[in-house]
Formats: sequence, C-alpha cells, structure tokens
Amino acid sequence: MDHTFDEFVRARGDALFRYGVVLTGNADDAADLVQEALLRLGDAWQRVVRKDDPEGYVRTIMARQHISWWRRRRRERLVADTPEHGYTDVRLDGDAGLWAEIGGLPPKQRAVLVLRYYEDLPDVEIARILGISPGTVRSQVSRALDKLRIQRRAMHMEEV
Amino acid sequence: MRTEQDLVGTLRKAANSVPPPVDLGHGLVTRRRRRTRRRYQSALAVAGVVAVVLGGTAVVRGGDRTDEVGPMASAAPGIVDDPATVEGRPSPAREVWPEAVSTIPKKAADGFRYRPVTALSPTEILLIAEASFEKAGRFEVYDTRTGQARVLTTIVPGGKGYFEQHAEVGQDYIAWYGTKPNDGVAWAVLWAAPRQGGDPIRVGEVGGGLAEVDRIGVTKDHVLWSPRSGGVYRMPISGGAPERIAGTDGLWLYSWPWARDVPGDAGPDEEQRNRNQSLLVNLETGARRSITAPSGVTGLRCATEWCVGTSGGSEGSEGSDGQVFAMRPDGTEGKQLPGRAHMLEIHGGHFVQLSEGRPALYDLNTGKVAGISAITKDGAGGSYGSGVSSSPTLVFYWNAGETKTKRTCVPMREEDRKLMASAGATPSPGATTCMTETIELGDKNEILNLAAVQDAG
Repeated sequence: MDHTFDEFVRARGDALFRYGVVLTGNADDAADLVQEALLRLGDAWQRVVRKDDPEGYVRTIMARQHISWWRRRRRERLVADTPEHGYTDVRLDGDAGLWAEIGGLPPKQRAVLVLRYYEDLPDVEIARILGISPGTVRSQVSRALDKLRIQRRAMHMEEV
Repeated sequence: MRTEQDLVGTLRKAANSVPPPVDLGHGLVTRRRRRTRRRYQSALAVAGVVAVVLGGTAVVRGGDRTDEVGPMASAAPGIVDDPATVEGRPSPAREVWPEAVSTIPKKAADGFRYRPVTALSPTEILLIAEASFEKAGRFEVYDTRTGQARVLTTIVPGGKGYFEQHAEVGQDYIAWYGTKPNDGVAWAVLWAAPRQGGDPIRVGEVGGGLAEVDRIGVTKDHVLWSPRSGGVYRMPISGGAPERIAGTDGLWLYSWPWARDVPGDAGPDEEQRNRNQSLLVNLETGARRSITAPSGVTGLRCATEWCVGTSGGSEGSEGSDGQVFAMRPDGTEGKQLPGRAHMLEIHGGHFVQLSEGRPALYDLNTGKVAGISAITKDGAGGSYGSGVSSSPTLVFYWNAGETKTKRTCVPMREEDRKLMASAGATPSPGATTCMTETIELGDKNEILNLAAVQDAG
C-alpha cells in the first residue's frame, strides 16, 4: 500500500509549508494550503508518482489554489469587515517593510514573484504552472517589481 | 532602491520565520473528516454571520498544532448538518459486499510485491509483481476462489529510468506501456500479451506528443491510446506504424470502445478538471451520445449508465469544494451523493469513489456505500490502494491485519521554540513535537472486486 505517500509528506511537508508561507504570507493559510494540496495529491498519488514529479504537482496546485482562495477570502473579509488579513510578523533583520509590501500585492503578482525569486523558475515554467502566457508572467513581474521599488537587472529590462 | 537580491533574501527569511506545523500527515486525516463541517462554516462566513478571525496559529499548544477553526464552530447555532453529509462511518466493504471481498497476499512467494491492476473476472485479479517499488517483474493472475496465483506474462526490463505505466485489459489481450519519465525525452513503448497467458509482444515505440499517453485500450488486433493532447491512435499488435483513428479529433479514450471529449487525466489544471463532458462516443459503432450538464455542475464524467460531477462548489474554480452529483447520461435521475470526492470517475459502470469520513465506494444503482480503508482501533483511517489500470479500475485494497497508529513525541527543539517566539507565539516549557505514524501489520490485504458485486439492491 502507499507508504510512499506518507514518506513523501514526512520528507517534504516542511519544505512545502515554507513555500506556502511565502505564497500566502502567514502560517495559517500556509498550513491550510499545504494540507489541501496534499489531500489532492494523495488522491492522485499512484498516478502522479508514476507519471509526474509529485513535488512539482503539489507546488503547482498550491500556486493555483492560493490565487483562487485569495479571491474567495477577500470576499469574506469584505463582508465580515475585518481588517486586512494579517501576515505573520517575521521580524526580519533588514527590510521588514518589503515583506509587508509583498503582502499587499495581488495574488497573481505575488505568486509570480515567489515562483521566480523563491523557487527560481524560468518564465516558461511559471507560465505553465499558473496557466498564463510567458508574456503575462513578464508583465506581472515587472508590475510587481515596480510596486516594490525594486531595480531590475538589465537583462530583465529588455524583456519588459 | 531595492534589488532583486533583497527580494530573494526577504522571501527566504520569511519562509524560515515560522516553524512548520508538527504532524502534517496526521492533520491530513483529521482534515479529511472535517471537510464537511468546514464547508458550513465558510458559508456562514460569506453570509456575514461571523467575523473571520483566524488567530495567530503557527501555533503549537503543548506540541499539538491547533488547526481547528474554533470561533466559527461556536457561531453556528441551529445549523443542523444535512444528514447526507454527516461525518459518517460507512460499513466496511466486507460487510456490505461480502461476495466481492477476498484476502490476497501482499507479496509473491519469491518476495516480489504485488500491485493490483484490475479484475479479469469476478474471481480473478490481475496483479503486477514488482521486485522493488515500480520495478515491474511480471503480470500474475490471482484466483480469489483457490487462493492461487499464476504468471500471465513476464515484463521485459527496460533499462535505467524505465517504468511500466498503466495496464489495460481487453477481450483477448492485456496491454501496457512504459516510459522513461525523467530523461526529458518524450518516448513510450507499447506492449501486449495474450489474456490467457503467453510471451509479451513488443508492439512498438512512439515519440513526441504521441508518447504522452493519457489512456490506453486493446482490441483483438490493435493497441490503442490517447495522448494528452487528444485524439485516439492505434498500432497493430502484429507490428506497424501508428495511425490516427478518423473522427477522433477532440476525443480521448475513456475505456475501449468508449471515448469522450475530456481527458482521462486532467492533471492539476482546474479548468480542465472542471470542464463538463458533453459527448460519449462508441468508437466501434460510431454511435455518439450528447450529454448536457445541469447548470452549477462541474467536472461531469460519464460512463454508459451514469454520470458524476460536482455541484455547489464555491467559485467554480474549486471543484473539490462541492457535493458529489450523479445523473443518467440523458439527464434524468439526478441526485446528490453523501460525502465528497476529488477524483470523479465511474468504476465498473455504477460505482463512484468518495470520502465519507473515510474513503468509500458508492453504488449508484443501489445507494449502498462501503468503506475501503483499514481503520485503527482508535478510529483513525489507514491507507488504501486502488488498482493501476488505465481505464477506471475494478479493484480497491487495504490492509487486512491490524492497523495501528504510533505517536512519538519529543521535547520541542530549541530552534523551533525560538522561531515560534519570534512569530509571537509562546510555547509552554514542556511543549513537545509529535509525529503520528500508521503501521500496517500482517502480510495480507483485503481486496474488493467490483466485478464480483452482486446487484441485488
């Protein structure tokens, strides 16, 4: 039987959770996101483990789910009139403001940044994961970096 | 001005700023059970009944991650769970369909592990015997009446990085294919062997998009398959070039001779998963049946007698959120099923796999529902497996012996303590970190063969 799934969860759960934190901005949503994605992975385990890379599969689900949950949660917040969904205060040594500002980005821009700068993926791969075109990836990155007042390297300038 | 390097650094630090929840695996089990309740809570939240307050829970209390959504549960007075979605404990399959459950060894006499594929008949199970995980050695047929296995055919080793993929059972042959998924080159090799037993026949190789196999099928003279991009192709078992079957544009093989206008494996793409099937085509006769999904239903998948889909999912993009819906392909007899499902598919003509507190199968003809996982004494769910055939399998299996959970707790590591403190949570002095493992004892599985279920209602 599939002990291999349990092993995967044990081996990769923490790393996936950290990816979730970067995607969502807080521990609650990260845990939620990881568990939901793992449940789905578990259902598809036998197929995924044979045909695809399970980690890539679950990270893809997380990136997409993050975007779709965010939309729903924003509605809930509006109705319930609670303040901005708080992010964990990470007490960063240096630029604490940057993390807070990342929290203010629209979910797709944030996901694109995470995939590019945390996961270190090429634009084509990011496009595949989010189901958007590489051109959209580049324009989202560009907009996000502008908002965060981040200087781009020259090679990225010409892509914009 | 900030640099991209600042961004990289900030994301890395943020990722490491909170300790991962302990017990993620065990959390999955409880989460499965809790799903139904949560759905009501979300509905309430959307309706503005409660303020959504999710406390700062990185949060381990004495070692246990608190992942209950507390404040909302108490704010739901007067909400009576729909009886159809009450966290149920369906009776085990052995009680519901005693005629269809057998025990089967986990390993062959020579130590090869058995991986069930599907049923060949009410008393015969097709198995792959593997030397190690996913290193297939041979196909065997296990007779559940006599408890004997016989070798059907051997599997020719394919070299490093080669994996056998799904197998499929036809009238006269079984067929399977193998790929090298990790070398970056699209390539697949198709095999067949006489269903009664005999030498394996190497039917041929394909490359490029054709090698990204979605599902396969086998007739008396051809192996057939659909690539992920659609269309149905075939290759003569006696050898020859692949050819596309005319009129199969936009169709995918469901289970020979049936094809449909949605892929068997939609992958992680939400849009693909949620697309409704609207066509069921018999490739032997050319008969085409149109299917209309009722509004609000997503991910509809049809066999000849029944369709299943999801209804009432929030936001359309989240199929997993709604209830399981079933109807006849002509749109009649629509009904909501208990429980929830991720992988909606019809098995054996009238069974659908769903989760009702524990993994279960629901018989659309009779309304009977049966649990298909092992359970521990304390009620936690064990694992279960489903057969690895290309079209929907007829077999599901779980550990026959005792299934235990083992919980190991160790004092919380100093670094986790610090991380939590920096995230604003204060673990108590005696806080521990715990892990729960499921241990499955014994050398036998129980296996449910849907081909053996008697349809008495």
